[in-house]
Amino acid sequence: MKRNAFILATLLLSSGLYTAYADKTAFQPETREAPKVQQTNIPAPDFTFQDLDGKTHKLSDFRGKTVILNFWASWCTPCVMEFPQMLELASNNQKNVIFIFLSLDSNEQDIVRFLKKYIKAPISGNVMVALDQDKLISQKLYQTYKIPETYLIDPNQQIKEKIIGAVDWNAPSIFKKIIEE
Amino acid sequence: MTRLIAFLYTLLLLFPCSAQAQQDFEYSSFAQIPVQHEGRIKPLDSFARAYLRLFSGQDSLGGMTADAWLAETLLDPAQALHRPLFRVFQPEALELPARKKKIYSYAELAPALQDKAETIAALSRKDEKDWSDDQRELMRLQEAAILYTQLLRSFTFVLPLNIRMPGSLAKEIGIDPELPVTLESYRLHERDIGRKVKAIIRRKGEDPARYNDKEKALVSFAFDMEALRQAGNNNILLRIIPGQWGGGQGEWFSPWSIINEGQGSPETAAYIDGWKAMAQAYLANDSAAWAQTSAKTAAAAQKFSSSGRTKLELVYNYLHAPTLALGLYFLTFMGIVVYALRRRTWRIACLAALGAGCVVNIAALAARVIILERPPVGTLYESILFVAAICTTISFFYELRRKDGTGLLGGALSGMLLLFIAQSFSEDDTMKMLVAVLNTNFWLATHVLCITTGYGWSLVTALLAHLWLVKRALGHKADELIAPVKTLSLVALLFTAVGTILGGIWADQSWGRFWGWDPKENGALLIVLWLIWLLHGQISGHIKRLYYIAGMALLAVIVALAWFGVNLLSVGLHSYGFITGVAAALGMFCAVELIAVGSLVYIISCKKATV
Repeated sequence: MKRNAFILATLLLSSGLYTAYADKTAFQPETREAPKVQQTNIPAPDFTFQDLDGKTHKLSDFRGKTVILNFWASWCTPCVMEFPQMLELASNNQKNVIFIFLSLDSNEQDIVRFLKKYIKAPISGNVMVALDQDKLISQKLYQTYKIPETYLIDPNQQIKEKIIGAVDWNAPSIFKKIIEE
Repeated sequence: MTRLIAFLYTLLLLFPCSAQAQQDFEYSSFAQIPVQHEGRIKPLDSFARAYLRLFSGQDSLGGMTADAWLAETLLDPAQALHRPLFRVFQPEALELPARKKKIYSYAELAPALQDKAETIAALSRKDEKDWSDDQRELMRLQEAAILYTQLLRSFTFVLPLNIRMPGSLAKEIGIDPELPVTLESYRLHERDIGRKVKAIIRRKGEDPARYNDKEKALVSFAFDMEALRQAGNNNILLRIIPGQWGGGQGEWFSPWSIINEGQGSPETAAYIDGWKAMAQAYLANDSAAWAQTSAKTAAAAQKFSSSGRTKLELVYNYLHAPTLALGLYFLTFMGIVVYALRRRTWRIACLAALGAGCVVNIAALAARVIILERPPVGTLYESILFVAAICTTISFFYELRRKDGTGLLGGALSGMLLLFIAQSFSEDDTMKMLVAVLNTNFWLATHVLCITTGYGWSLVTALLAHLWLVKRALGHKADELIAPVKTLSLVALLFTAVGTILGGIWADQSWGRFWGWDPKENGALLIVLWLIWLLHGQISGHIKRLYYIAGMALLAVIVALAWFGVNLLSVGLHSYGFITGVAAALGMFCAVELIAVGSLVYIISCKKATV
């Protein structure tokens, strides 16, 4: 009995002391992180496309190089705004980076008209512009319904990142990402 | 509200109906597909059970399992909306036809709710506390209908529609007009079709009467598709795909939101194709293809979540361990009845049944610990399971030691009673994540377990005290129970006192004060004070043995009030524990206990006086 009374008294005393002196601001509720999904190493599905010069290419042709796969359209304002920046980036990184611009326009004429009107500088050799007429590559294969969206594909043809919406392609962080690939 | 009706007609008109529900299908692969719901990843089986219970109050629907029901709802919505599903307590209030089972389909409920649209709108502007019971029921049905609509819409993106693309349009965009249209296929040509519609409107205005047949067909087709697409916006309930990029990582998305929020990838595209194949097999009533496609989709989903917890949860769902434990406790009780007649033969069997019940009960709690990644008690339902396990385990060891049947009786009675009560709370048990203030493993493992363990010891004490009173009232000696009552009550006091103090420290950390005279705090203190009063009264000789034991018997009432009673007050900071609808049962329990204990005390007093 005495022992129990002693235990209870000790507990009461220690909790009283704790209440009086504890730093109440120190308490942080536990937060548990939601399980994260491993996003690296999603293989980029291969596809075939025909550029504006009529040449047929496959994504797998560019194995060994970093590929920037951009889904865009001439009627999409954010796409049009980032397009020149991406061309400039392509021009500065011709050696190891391939830029594929797959357009969701209805026909090739719209793309050609856009390029003639807005793109004055010559387009470098590592840039390919093509029409995804049936949207089979964008919607069926890459599940892209809203544009612009850009996939960064590493030299092993693994998707490293998807950029949703338009970004500043002159930003050092983007440059770093591409060069690191 | 109008949206519910509009969606109902869209489903009726646009989606083809399969001939009958695919009840002979194998749903085991479908059941294990992971889904994010209520803050954690769980198998579709748990998701299906939770929603079926929410809508119908049942675990199965006229012989249809929860998994079969969910598959039909997701993949064959046109068929599903005719299936009686919603439990309506007052069908006459909604002018629904009188029916024995009071279960109604969405096709019946939606128009009835539409008629009450104004009332619902007015109620949604009022404080929930001011709703009458009838109004609360109306709003419950409204909420259930909205949730069900979300489920029905989950896969409208890929399901084949019961309409054909106008022939001329199909020819222009180069597709086979005989192929079934899906919203997904429409999206491929959406912009071109939109441009054609705009051209018609520019030329002829917005009045369809001025269009020719070809134009009417095109505009009508585009309008239906757009309505269906709009209906998919904000469809977020069925989160079966983990976010793939940027801010979406860690969160799971519904098929609609993965598309709308740009979280798709080639991997998710392939996964949705898997679901599409499942839908095709389901609608074609092809059980072999269904088995194959659902197994393939479940295997693909393992990439997203291959946790063993999901499998354990499936086993937990199928076995329903608490009900199994209840059955074993009942078996123990029935054995005791026989044991009373044939003393030696049945004791071991009863002890084995009680032991098995304990093991199953504890296994159920252990499974929940693994699944939820937290200590076993976080909700009222779990507290009942835990206290049942404590009571029966104490009783089991008591019986091992005393070998007189008292432990068997105490274990069987406490286990049966508590797990029977737990059944009435199991409807709300979806193993959801806890509110922020509760979601701390340290305090759940210390304060909560201490208090609930104290409840368990208190209840066993009360049971033995009851037994003493009954024996004495029947004129038997019961001195052998005095010492156990004292010992058990001291252990109960230790746990409740330490638990109450720990609760104060937690309150100090969370709310900035050790003690606030909150009803829950007062309830815990009440048990401590009651025990201290009785024990000291007995030691000092101020309370006679009969009243001391009667007081210990009434400890059950004190525990019930502290455990359930304070939650009925709906005041204080312990808002996570509020419950409704048990006041009558609790009141009845307290009244019966007071009358029973009072009567036993009176009988014993009279016998003493006679002696």
